[in-house]
Amino acid sequence: MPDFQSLATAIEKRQIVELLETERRVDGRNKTEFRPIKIQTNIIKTAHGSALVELGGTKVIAGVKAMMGRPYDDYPHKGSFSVGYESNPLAAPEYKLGPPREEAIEVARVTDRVIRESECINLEKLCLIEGEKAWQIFIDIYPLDVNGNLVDAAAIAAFAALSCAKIPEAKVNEEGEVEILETFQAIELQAFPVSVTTFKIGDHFVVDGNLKEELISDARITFGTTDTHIVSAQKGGIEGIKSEKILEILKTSIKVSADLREAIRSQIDIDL
Amino acid sequence: MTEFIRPDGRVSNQMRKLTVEVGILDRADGSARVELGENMAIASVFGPRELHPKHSSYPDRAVVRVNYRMATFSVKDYKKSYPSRREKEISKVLSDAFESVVLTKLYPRSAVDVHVQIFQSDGGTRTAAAIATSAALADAGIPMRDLTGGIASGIYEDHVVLDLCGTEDMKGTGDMPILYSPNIDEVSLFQLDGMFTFEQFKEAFNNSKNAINTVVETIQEALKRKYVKTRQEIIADRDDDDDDDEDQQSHSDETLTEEEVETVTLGDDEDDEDEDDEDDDDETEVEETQEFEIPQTSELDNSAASEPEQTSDVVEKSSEESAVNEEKVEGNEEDASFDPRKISAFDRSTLKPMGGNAKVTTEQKKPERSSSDILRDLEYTDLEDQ
Repeated sequence: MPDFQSLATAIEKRQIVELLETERRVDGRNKTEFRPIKIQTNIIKTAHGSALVELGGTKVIAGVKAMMGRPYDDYPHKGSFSVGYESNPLAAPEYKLGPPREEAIEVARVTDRVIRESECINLEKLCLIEGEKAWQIFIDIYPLDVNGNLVDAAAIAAFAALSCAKIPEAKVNEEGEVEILETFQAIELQAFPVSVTTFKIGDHFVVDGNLKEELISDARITFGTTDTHIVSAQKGGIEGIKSEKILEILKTSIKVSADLREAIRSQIDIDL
Repeated sequence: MTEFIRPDGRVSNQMRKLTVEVGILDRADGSARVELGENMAIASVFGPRELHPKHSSYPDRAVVRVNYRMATFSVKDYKKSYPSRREKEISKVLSDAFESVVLTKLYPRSAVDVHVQIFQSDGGTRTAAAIATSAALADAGIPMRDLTGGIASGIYEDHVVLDLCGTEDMKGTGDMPILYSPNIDEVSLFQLDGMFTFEQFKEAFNNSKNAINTVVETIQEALKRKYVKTRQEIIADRDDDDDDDEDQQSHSDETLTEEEVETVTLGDDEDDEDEDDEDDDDETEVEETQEFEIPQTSELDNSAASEPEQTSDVVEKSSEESAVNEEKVEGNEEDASFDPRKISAFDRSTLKPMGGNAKVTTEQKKPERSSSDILRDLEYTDLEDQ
């Protein structure tokens, strides 16, 4: 296995850029094309919902767990959720053991924001007793194979796992206590967010970069969108992006999002 | 005793369904997915590679580091994401276990890293993790003394049961996971908690050992599914070639038997070689039979002195002669048509490094080979005995 740094040599960068000059990419896609997506839902029985997502060579597993807890003081009428991402060292040779690194935290935070700001989960429905009892939803994402564009794969996996999740039903009995039933309910979803990441390589912009494109990219920008709104964005990388380019990328991202949503919809059971 | 039926409908010494799949991940050097009943483990192997931090390396061997982790959603309740004491302990015992089967002396100062993640659990995750580790190490081509399998036995309602499921693990009164390598008859992981009588212990231990034979077979089948197919493809590709084909075929036959030939008999060797082309024949004969040697020496003057000695004791001499032989055959080689495929075949059979400097050296190493190979084997077993 080549070393992490040596994966993207100067020669490879030149080759990729030269191809891009002729509007082509190393894996034969065009600049606004996603890699094929494959989603398997409910693969893990111990989780309330789960999904294994393959975005080209990138593989991630997402699992959803619900636990009865106390709502946050500032939102007493709402349940809560969190997105976790662990840069599991089994996924890539360059990943090391230890506390989560900045990159891993960024993936978790960006994915969290796509789900949260789209108001995808109906959090009011998760609250049983205001200020006392509400469901806490934990969405945890584990990479299996890191082959570029983890953020978008993570967002797809998180949403797919949510879409198929069945959490226990609960009701408040006469004594005013929460009783967890044996039956299960779906988590009510009210939006369909996806994220699209565009990588800047030289003067070129490509969506859904593969490993090599990601490694040689100078900058990247992730847009989270629903059918109607732009819900999140994150820029990363060591170079700036010109302001008119940002608008261009956003337009492309919205277009790509529609296709992406269609591709996901065909593989999961959802009516959004 | 009537058959005891367990909570999930199995009988006492029946294990759960085991599925093993290797080579499932792209970026890992080796990987495996194991499903043991309701357990799902994915393992990946990296290495042998440079070890960080450097000060924890050993000058004479590699370290095997198994990192066992459970996903937050792999258990009934939500598990905290940071590693628990239990996960750290299992990582350690698995590391120790695999350190004993991996041929660590081959890779001084380096590390073999194994990462096992449990995504779904139902009792016996450490044995599922161990099976995944074993399969992934084999998939990565890490040399091991044997394939290791693992299984737990325990006591449930006063019966000795094999491969405890989650319920049995919780309510049972004894649990004994072991890792065992059948071919070298070594137990590499052994843990026990609960109350066993001596008889129960013996029964549990024997049941586990028998079950592990099945486990190891399952791993072997998984490896064959991935690798034997590849070999068949190569053969299919080879069939596409025309007449080169037969040549290659007969030659590869020879390489297979070569080891025996060198050490055991000369007669067999001749038979084998009749099928081969001239230049190969000549060399092997030079080494091993005197009659064929003599005509050849007459062609080449400078080797004449050493030849008579060779007749007296063939094997021990060989290293001395090899220098002479090398020059001798060099002359031969230039005349004869040179087929690079044969060289590489020779190489493979003897595991000699393929140097840039030539056909001749690689072939000519042969007399040396017979003795030095044995020497190397000896050294090797010595190392292993320590």
